[in-house]
Amino acid sequence: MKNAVLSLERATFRFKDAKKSSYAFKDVSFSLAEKEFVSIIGPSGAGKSTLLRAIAGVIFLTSGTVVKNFKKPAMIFQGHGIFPWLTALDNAAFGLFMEGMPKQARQKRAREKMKEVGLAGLEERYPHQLSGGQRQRVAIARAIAIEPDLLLMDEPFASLDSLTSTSLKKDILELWERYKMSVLMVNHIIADAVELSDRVIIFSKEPGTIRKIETIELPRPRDTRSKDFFLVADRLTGMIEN
Amino acid sequence: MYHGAHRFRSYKTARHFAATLLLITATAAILLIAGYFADIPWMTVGSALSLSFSRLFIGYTLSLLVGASLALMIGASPFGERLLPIFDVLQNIPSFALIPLFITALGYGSAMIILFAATSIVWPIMFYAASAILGAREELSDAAKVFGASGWKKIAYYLLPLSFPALVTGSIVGISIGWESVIGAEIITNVRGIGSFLNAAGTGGNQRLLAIGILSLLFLVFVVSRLIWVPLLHSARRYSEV
Repeated sequence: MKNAVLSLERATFRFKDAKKSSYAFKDVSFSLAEKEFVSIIGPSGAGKSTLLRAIAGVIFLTSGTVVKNFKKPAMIFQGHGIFPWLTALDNAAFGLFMEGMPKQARQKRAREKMKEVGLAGLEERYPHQLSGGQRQRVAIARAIAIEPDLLLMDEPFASLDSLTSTSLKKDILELWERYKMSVLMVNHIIADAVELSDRVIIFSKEPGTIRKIETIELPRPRDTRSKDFFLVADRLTGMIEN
Repeated sequence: MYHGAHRFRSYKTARHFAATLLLITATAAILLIAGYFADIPWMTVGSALSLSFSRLFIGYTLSLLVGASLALMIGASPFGERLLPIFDVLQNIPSFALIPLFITALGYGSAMIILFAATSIVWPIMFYAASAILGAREELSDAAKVFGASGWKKIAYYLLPLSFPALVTGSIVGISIGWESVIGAEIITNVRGIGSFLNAAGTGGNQRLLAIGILSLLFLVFVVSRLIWVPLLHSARRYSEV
């Protein structure tokens, strides 16, 4: 693939501490283009989150290769992963702080990003003083603050109620369109994957392998109540179930 | 609304702190005045108490440095967890069995008592902090790594704040064990301090001095608890996970 920010070739991860030979995922190969939004869906235990951790560089592949043409990855976690000892503003500025940006500049940018995700006025709050949706928005602000070229998202809507999840999806789409970064999202909600993605990678489990890669041809913005939307979602559901 | 609530909490904390200071000052004044009329040797009691407390303080400071460093090493290294069984064996060595060794090495005196106390205090600090680091949600360490906290930055901006509540709790437990060690060692070796003061008063049948010594010790423990540990525990709350 031309302009790929990420390419995996027969990527395999095996749990070392398991009594039996146990693969999280095996022989996974795909690429992610610049400014592309790709979702990975599949049953629980298919190694999707482990794959994301390997791409983020938190764990290392047992075999296979990951070609990383991205410079600044950011990640949004299922349980937000923001630091309880930092205020919302300091959480949003964490990546910039690690980059060595001066305090005034990083706080200015973090404030801007917090405003973009609807958190203006909540800068001095600690995570325990925020709702689940607000915490996830802090995590999004932290991610976009570093202006990433690759955004990894691990089931970002899983721990949220449906109203918050709908609003957050809208925000993520807007941010993706504004910043034109590549996005790789692990999800188990098929409708979300169809609504957001250019392509959907369908995983099967034991071991986690790619069953199929589907291109979503529906025009944007997507009408989640249209017949075509339901047809695509049904087709993907069938692929997972079979 | 939030800022108002915050001011109210600060005010409450300040009022509480002032009340604690007043209580401590009043108790100290009553003890001193009563002591003047009852001919209590406050200089002797005070000097014994400050000797013991300074030994405890130095022993605690050493333990905090060593315990926190070991915990951070365990947390920062991928193989750190494998060291825990070794430390578990070491902490199970009865501290009092080491007294003859410390006397041989350092003779009778403060250095021996400080080292003895430190070998008792270090374990709760280290194990509490190491457990907090190893038991933290994977997402937090992943977030730290993805957003650039590696090497010393990981220690300073992730592991230290993460383990702060455990360091406070471990310190409280450690200090309580440390008092036992200091007083026990002073009684056994008859080195000057509150331990040998209480021992002399008890074996000499001087119930008044024994009671005064115990009351003074209780007063000091109360002061340290209210002025140091309670505020630290309060601020550690916001470091806890959400």
